[in-house]
Amino acid sequence: MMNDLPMQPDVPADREQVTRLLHQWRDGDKQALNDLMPLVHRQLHSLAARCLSSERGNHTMRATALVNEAYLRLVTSDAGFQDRVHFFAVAARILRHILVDYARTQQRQKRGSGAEVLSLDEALEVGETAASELVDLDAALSRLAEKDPRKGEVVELIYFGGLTYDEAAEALKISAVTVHRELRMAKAYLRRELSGEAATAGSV
Amino acid sequence: MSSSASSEPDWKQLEELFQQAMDLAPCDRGKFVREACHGDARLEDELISLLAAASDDDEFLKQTLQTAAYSVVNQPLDAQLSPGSEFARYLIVSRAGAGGMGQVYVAEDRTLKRRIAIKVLTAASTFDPDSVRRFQKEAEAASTLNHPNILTIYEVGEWRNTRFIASEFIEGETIRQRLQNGAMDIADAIDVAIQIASGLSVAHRAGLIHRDIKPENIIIRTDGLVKIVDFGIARFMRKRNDYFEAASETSSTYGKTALGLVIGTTRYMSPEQARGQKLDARTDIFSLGAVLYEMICGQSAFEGDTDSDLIAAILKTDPPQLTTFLPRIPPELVDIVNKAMCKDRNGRYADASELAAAMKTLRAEMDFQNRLQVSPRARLHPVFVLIALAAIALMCLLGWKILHPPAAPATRSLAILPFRNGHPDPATDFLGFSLADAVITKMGYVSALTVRPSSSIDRYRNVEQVNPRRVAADLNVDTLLLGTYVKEDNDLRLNLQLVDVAHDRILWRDTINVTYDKLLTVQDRVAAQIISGLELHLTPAEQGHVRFDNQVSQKAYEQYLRGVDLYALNDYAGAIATLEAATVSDPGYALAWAHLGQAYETNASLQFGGKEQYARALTAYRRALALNPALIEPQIFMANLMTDTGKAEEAVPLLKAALATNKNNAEAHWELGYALRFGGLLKESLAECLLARQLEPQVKINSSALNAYLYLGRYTEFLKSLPSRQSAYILFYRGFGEYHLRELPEAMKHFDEAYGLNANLLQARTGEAIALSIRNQDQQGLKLLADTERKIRERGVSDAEGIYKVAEAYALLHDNKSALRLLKQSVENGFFPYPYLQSDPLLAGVRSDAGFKAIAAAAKARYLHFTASMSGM
Repeated sequence: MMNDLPMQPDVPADREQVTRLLHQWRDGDKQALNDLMPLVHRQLHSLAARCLSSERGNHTMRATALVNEAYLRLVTSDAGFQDRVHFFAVAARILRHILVDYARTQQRQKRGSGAEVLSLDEALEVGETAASELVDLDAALSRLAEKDPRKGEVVELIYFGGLTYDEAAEALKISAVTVHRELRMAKAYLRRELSGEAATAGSV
Repeated sequence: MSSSASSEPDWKQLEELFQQAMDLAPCDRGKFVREACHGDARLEDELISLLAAASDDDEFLKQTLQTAAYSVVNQPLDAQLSPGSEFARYLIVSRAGAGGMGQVYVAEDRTLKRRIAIKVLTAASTFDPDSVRRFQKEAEAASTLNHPNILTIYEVGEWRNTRFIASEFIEGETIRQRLQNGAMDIADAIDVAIQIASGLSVAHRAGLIHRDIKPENIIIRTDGLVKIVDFGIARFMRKRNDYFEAASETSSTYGKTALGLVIGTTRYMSPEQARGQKLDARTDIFSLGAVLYEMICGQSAFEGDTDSDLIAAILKTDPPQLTTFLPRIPPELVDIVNKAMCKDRNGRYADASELAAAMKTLRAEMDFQNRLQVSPRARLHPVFVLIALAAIALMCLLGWKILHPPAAPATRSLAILPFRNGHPDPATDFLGFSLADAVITKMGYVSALTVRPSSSIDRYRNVEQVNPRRVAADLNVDTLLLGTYVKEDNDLRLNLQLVDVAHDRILWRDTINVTYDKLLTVQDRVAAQIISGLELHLTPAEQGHVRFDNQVSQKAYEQYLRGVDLYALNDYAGAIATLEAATVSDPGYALAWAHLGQAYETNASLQFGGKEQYARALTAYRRALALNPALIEPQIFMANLMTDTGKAEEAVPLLKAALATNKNNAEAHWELGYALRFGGLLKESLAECLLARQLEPQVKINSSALNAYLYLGRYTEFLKSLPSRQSAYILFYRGFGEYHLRELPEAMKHFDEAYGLNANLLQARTGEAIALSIRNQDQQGLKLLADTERKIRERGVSDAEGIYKVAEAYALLHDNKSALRLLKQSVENGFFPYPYLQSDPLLAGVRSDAGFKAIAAAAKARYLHFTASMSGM
């Protein structure tokens, strides 16, 4: 059904609104972030639903491409570098939620439908594995953020938001070197957690 | 995975060491770790595991995210939900189909345990935030509409970023599906259109326009009830179509499906809609006209190969006259369709209720002509139907109007609306309803006039502006009495007008000025005015009734009026206190005693038990009748009490007396049918109840079902006779009728819904027990019934017919002993329909039981005695 739909024009009003909210947020208006979230959310969501319907089977699709696309659609071209960084920071968090939510739904549906549903399609099987990996990653990332919030943010910005180290540094107001150091421990932590080989007390 | 907080090394320390180690060459790290940890084994383990996992390679992260993103975009929101999966608080049961906006599923509401329909909007439908907001707003507005002919929206919501609408679940077919078998029967088509029009009129009054009335958007439920669906979605759809149209100029991806969508919607568009003008409610009237046209002749009113052809046809061409398809169609119907589809909206019906009224009038005339030509038996035979159709056709040729002259109306029907208080003064508000009620009571003795009872007009209390046509159509009357009063100090002024709605004229207008101490004379003067205004001829006995109460004291009369007002406001305790005061002020006030008895009785039956209040009610009725043996009210009220308390034999003479006074009293006919049902005279019972409903369609509509149909095995008619409202009581009966038809899934659903709505209602509990028997959960069913039986005992419930149903449920759960115990109790409590006891399919399992024979014998003896007493009357 969706394939029959022509691409629809974006609403210019939204663009101005998003840019304005970004400015306000940068200037310290916390409410602006609350107003911004649903707009970005909607855009990301429809992008996620729409992107590959026109390029089916494109395995190189990346999560970060969604954020980029959303940015182009939602923010006016006269927005500055800082606005872009802030936008990506918001989008990264939202995208993480969207993806993880979706993965959880998939898992639940799989469980809910019981053993009767056989996987006839390899793509579905891939989806299954990806879903559980993503949920595990999300949990590990949450554990990391609990110990060390900034590390959690760096991972979000770079891997969900697709920011470069410099951009992440700008967003978090830290140096690029710090970003690099934060990231190397964060990655080690996540990799260890996901490989299931965490150290347990007493074991050598 | 990670160790518990208490045993974890300090994170800061860990990080410091990790970063230092990472800055070293890999070969130097082992030594560094051993030295830095000073033999702290936990810290060392932790550090080593992190260093082992450290790598510049971040493919593992990228890979996970990439695959996840891929799986999201490849299985977007439009993915079908599989049966058994969860969606918000609903459980998907099956997929029902796909609509323009998304997938429709049948689901179960896990909280309320009811079946619902859920429409999940496609991601594509939620592209434009503006549209989504508008959609949400309108769907929410539509969800506030409460009308049997509008699909009830339970919830408009969003779950996991997906918008959805949960609504009532309807089993039936759309008009589109129905039309696949060709045109509909004319009477059926009108009945469907009347229901659509009444649904629309309510929506229009609420300021909502549907904008997309078409055969696909109307569902005819299996029992004939019509539901309009997709209210509020239309505007959103139109917006989408605008996109389609805009896209057609710029994009080559504009496909056939989109084109089809535009045409499908365009076919029923009004001319102003096709022009893109601002719309009002009359656009729906046009579309309804086009749908009615198609239902009648099976052809759509406008045709065109392309969208533009179709729009041109709508704007310029008149559809072929219906007479070209059906030469013998009633000319009134042709007029109605033409007027509804008038190109200029000013030429159409001004509102949907006006259209409904026109169709109802036509329908009544058709019925009337049918009755003239065909006896009820003959109507069943196709040959006779053909003859009847020929006869109707002949009449049409001769001219409908000539055979049915308007100058000879059967009985005039009048509704007296609550009078409006011209001064906003709570102290005198009670007069508005109660004075109207007093006049209604008086006019109830005039057989040349059918007067709507106070219970029907109660809802027009506090209505600021009435539209006489609308009210008359709703109440199915041709005449209205409207009044406004002002009380200033000791003066009461009442402005009245009597309106002949059918002929659109005021019959008389008058102002009555009295001093407040002469309040009592007001009702007599108004009654006299109505009688002279309508040129009614009264028998001497009727004249006596109309001039009666002049002996009552002013104080008692005012207390009486207040009591009647409180009763109508469901304040039974207040009504009892005030009416008791009235009988103290004037112990000779018969009408006050009658209403006091009714207040006692209602209070008792609504509060379970209270046997002593039944006794008080009986005393009050006897007092009223002793004071004035000819009063209708206490006779009818008392008859109901008699049947309810197991003395159907004593109810009958009271009702015969009331009917001798006024043969057109609907409530008396209904109560007679009720008593006859308890005594097993089922056909006679049915005839009385049907006559009652014919005289007054709303009589006892909420508190009593046409059970005689059930007991006669006429289940489909039984289901049709039920009102559409969703009370626990009515839902139980719906399920019960369906159970008899072996429509078990529907029966279970309605039983569950009834029980969900009111788990304390005797009938709802019985229904739930039957539902459990269907599910083979006999033990739970028996437990529920045992608990119900305990409550019946505790609260002293004496509803013998209700107890009979508990017996039936026991029988279905294979507990014959309990079934017989309850059956015996039911017969002893006065429910003794002997023929039904012998034929009741639900009692098949217990009829061979020895205990049954004794109970049946007792019922038979009483039934024979009852029948004999009837024939002697």
